[in-house]
Amino acid sequence: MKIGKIDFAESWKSLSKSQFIEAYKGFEKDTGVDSGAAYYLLTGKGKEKKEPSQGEE
Amino acid sequence: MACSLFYFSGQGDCKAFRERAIGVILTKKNTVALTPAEAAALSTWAPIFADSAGQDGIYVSFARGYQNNTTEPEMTTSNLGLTEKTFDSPPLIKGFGEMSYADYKTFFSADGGAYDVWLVLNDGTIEAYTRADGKIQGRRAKVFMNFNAPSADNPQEALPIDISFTDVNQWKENSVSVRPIFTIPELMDLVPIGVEISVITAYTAGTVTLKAVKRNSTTPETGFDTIANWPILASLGDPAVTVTVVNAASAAFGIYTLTIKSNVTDNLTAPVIIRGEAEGLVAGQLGYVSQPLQINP
Repeated sequence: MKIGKIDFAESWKSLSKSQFIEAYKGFEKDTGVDSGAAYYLLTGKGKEKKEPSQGEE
Repeated sequence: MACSLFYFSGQGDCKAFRERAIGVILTKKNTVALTPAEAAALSTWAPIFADSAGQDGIYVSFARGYQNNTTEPEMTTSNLGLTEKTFDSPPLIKGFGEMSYADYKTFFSADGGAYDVWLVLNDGTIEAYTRADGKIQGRRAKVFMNFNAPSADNPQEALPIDISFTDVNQWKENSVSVRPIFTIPELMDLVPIGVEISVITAYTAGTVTLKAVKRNSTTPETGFDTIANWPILASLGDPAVTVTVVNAASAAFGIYTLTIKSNVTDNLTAPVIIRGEAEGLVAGQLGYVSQPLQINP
């Protein structure tokens, strides 16, 4: 599951949303995708609130 | 000892020499047993050397030198002058690896281990022995590496590998020579290209940064950019250790930042052993593989 050049393991799907947001904090800058959009992209759960803006700061 | 029945079996017109050994195929002990036809086919050896699910063997070239150091058979003379052979020693060979010292170091952990050794001769013949079930297998041997300072005079003989066969009976009537339909360079090309990985930023708060280069060079390895490229070989303490993120933003330089966790979210408390690997031209077969590397938390 890739966002840009960052590959995330399938195990991210097993995280609760709060665990996901906590674990994802350090990657927002590298992916350019905020945690809400990343949660949707990586887990397929929840409603996408924002179009992912890959590569953007 | 027991005596065998001997049958006079004629002689062929071809009196060609038995060729010198130019290398060996090392396979895991009692893992690779083939029919002679299978051993003669290149497609058989490809998954043995490079299966992405696990490698079972490797070809080692002794093009830099080969010695037969087998102890002469024990001959005993009675007090009445009768001399007889009283013991056959199993063969002991020494090959000088055609490889870099960086490659040689990857064999250090094989030191003293038992493997099945398929002898490869200069004309491409592969020597093995026939098992009781009719399949052929490499002869059992212990492999010894040399932990020594660099050679002062002969660099070709700087990287010796001693192979001590354990059972002379695998060299007797059940010895078998297979003439493959491939050449040895084709066999060598099946061995994945070696990659060297090293830690450039130690494991901190769940992440470690590694650099991967083609072995014994500064050429970056640029193809280790997914989770699948970084299998965890062993965990020395923590349960359920996985690579959860691979940041390949600097892959062009061979630099990868890996997040390694226990139970998905916990930072490591004990070392893990990891390696990098990637498929080559053939799907399902490794084209690139690194040495194992211990990551300390």
